[in-house]
Amino acid sequence: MSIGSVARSIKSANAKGVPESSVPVRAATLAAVLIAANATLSQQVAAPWARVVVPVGLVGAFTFSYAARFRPGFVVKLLLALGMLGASAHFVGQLQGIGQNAAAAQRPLAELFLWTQLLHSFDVPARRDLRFSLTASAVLIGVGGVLSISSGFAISLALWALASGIGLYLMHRSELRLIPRPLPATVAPPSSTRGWRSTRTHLGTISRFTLAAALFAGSVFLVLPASGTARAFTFPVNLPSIDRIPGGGLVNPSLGSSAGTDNSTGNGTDTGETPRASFGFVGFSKELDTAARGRPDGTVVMRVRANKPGFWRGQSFDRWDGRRWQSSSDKSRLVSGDGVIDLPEFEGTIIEEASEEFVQTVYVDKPGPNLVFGASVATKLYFPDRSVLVLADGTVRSGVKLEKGAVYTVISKRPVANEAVLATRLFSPTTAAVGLGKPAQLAYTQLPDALPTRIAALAQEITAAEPSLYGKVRAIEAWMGAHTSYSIDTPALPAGADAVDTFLFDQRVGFCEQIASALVVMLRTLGVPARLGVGYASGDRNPFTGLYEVKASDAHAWTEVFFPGHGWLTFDPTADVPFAEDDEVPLARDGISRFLSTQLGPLLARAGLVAMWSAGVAALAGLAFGAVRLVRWRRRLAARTWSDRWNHRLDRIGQRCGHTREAGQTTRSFVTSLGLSGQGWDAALATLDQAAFSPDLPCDDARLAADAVLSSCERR
Amino acid sequence: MAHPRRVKAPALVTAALAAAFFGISRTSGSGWATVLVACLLGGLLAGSLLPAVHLQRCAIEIKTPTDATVSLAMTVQVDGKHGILAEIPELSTGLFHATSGALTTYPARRGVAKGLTLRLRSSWPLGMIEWARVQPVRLSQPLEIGPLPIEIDPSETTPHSSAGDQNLRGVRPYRPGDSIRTLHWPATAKTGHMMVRETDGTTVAPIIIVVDLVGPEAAVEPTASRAAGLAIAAIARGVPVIMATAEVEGPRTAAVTSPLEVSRRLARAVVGPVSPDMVSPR
Repeated sequence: MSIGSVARSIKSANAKGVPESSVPVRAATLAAVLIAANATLSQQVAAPWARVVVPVGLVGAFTFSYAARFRPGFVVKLLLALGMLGASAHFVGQLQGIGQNAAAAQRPLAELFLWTQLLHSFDVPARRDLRFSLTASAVLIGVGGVLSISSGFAISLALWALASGIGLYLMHRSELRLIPRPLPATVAPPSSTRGWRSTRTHLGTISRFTLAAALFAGSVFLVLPASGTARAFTFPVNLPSIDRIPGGGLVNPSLGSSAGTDNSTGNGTDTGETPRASFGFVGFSKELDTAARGRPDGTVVMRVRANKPGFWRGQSFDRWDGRRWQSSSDKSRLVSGDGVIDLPEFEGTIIEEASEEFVQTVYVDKPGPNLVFGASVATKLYFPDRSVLVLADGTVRSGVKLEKGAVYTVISKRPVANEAVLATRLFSPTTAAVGLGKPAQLAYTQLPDALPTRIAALAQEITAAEPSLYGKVRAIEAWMGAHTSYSIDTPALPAGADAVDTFLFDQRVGFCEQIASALVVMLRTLGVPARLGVGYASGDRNPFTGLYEVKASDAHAWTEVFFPGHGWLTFDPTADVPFAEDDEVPLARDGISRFLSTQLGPLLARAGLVAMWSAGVAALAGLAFGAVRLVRWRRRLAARTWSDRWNHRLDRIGQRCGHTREAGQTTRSFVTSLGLSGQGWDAALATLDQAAFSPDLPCDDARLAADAVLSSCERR
Repeated sequence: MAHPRRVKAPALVTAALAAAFFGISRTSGSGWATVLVACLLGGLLAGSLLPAVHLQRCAIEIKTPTDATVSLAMTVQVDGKHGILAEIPELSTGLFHATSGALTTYPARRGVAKGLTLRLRSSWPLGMIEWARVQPVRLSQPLEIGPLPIEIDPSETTPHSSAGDQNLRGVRPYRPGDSIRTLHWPATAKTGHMMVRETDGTTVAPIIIVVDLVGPEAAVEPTASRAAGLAIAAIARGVPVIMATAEVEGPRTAAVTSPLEVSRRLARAVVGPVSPDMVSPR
């Protein structure tokens, strides 16, 4: 291929299309681009001034492009190329400032795309260019979607979808020359394209296809797989401000002046209520008073991007005094890393080779404790600060306050132990703590001296028939499930009473801290190392953002039991389920009923789901119908006569040369008008006449020769 | 019934975007990327299936005149719907917007059309996938499409006449168009100018046009066109014309007195025995 032909190809590819003079088409495209740009800008992409410059620039660019649609665009293209070089240089400059955190390149890349979109908008003379703008706006809204963690993005997405749909509709009308335009049209637009009647017709059409598209989109969403696990070399991290915590202790601003953190030293009260600032959980402090539940509210404290639910573990307690849990040791170790921090294995950690990697990105929504939440066992941490503090039980604390906007990613290795394996391991009190050092054995089997003996007796009685540790744990859970009930409205704990004893024998009503404590204490009476884990339950999955929305009321306590050879495994006696973390989220729709019920009410949610399923069935039926029709049509097409096909090919050659067969024009006359002549053509036309009009079909050789004549012409 | 005909660029771009964002959703964990995939596929489904519904529900009506001539312009009144392209192969229209209004068409072939075939196409409203279907349209009255008459030398339409049946009234100078057979040779010799006979109570023998359409299809239409040209030229000269044709009901031999009648007779003419006693040699 010569340089000249390459140049010609480039010139042809960049040739200006027929200018699009329809203002509505341009307005709809501009609306879609504006909405997409704003959706991206609202994700903290680009500097604040860009939030004004980009929208205003887009409007100006589209206006300029409309005014200049008939002019040759060479100078404009040259200037735009220079502008692109500038934007690229700006992008490269931003990359140099992000260091090794490749995830931080997301926003500069999105910004580069924004500038590209703005520059491109200066040169959209033809419908083809406007279509490209619409496509680019889809990419832009996708970029905004990937960066967004808020349900509010739905508004941008819905508006963009509507504007894009209207844009496509108007472009199709323009393609059919149904939109009045200053250029002469070969077919006059009908009178019905003007006036109120026309507007009403358009609104009707737009409403119909919007409704159909919405229902189809809903039904597609119902069958789409859930957004998968984030796979990347690095993950997003952010710290809106650096406010260091003196001494590296535990702080929890969500508790206000309540209890147990290094910022205050209050105690719980016997009334069961803990005074607090707003929404905090009393367990995220240095001690946990099981008599004081508090009332964490529905405030969303953080959102977690993960492909499965899990217990977002904050910390654990090992010392039990009959009412309160405390940590026997607050010694922490500073662990550092550059971008990614490798977390050390704590005592009792066993990570099997088959352990599945579990990625969780946490977006802090409310200032809370400086605990780094993540599923057990956390092995890696992508954190905005260079170091964190790790305690002996695997608790990870941040050295800075975690304000709203803080983002970090925890990579955990989930235990692979399952019921079938654990049930076969026989329990022996002498080997129950194998794998733990002596201090840890003592710490995790510690019991208060005044522990009522009937607790141990009950534990023995319940578990006597179970030979395995797993069986014993499940037996105690089952017993509590049958004999106790969950309630956060529990009577006040009498002074001096043991909380577990009161729960098991007197009240038999309690909340998660009391239920989990009862399991820990009963297991310890059997000689099993166990501890109380606190953190958050997974929260409700928002099916649209794909994030688990963790509320203050999702604060939870559970039991961590040490299994020799397997390490610490989590049991949730409150829900009477082992390994509650193992639920898969196979489909995007998972959690949608609950989410819609919360947002719209159960009746509307059900109606919406029924409509979406119906649309899905209708779409499937329509597609099947279309496929059948297509196959039949193809067969019919194949059954066309040879002369029909020959004439069709000839017509296409004519169209390529800019000649269309006139009404009633014979093939011979059409061939002559195309300037095609010669012996081959005469023979081909004779063969065609014979095939079309004679009962004696031409021989194969003659038809092949006629085909060859056409083929050689097509190649030319 | 409608069938999908062509996938257009917007559908391909939408599908490509949906595939790309599906990949992004699976690797980024972004729920909004999944929702965007659903939106794009929803739009693609709506844009793909709505044209079929639109096409299936539309009923285009057509009003044609009763008579037409092959390849000559004819106006058809269309009562249709937005967003549908149509063509009528019998009328060589090419594509037209099936919206209400007058449409100039060119009949492609001779014959009597009691109905027409509309080939409809639509990718309404988003221009994603084009569907097509065929809609037969029954005409309120048959459309008789006659052949395009071929121009004929007037002399060819001079009938044979029998002198014995006529009384000589006199002679007059020859005028172009007079048959050579009417020359009065004695007067011509005497005057030195060509003179023709004028008869009294002349009985001009009618010409009989036998329209035998048997033969290769390529030759049939020229035959019909020539017959039309002959008949119309003869009628224009006042020569009675009897036309013998074969119609669907059987052979018909009858006089034709106007070009319209000629056109209609030839429109109805089919291949078949022309008349029991007037079969032309093959």
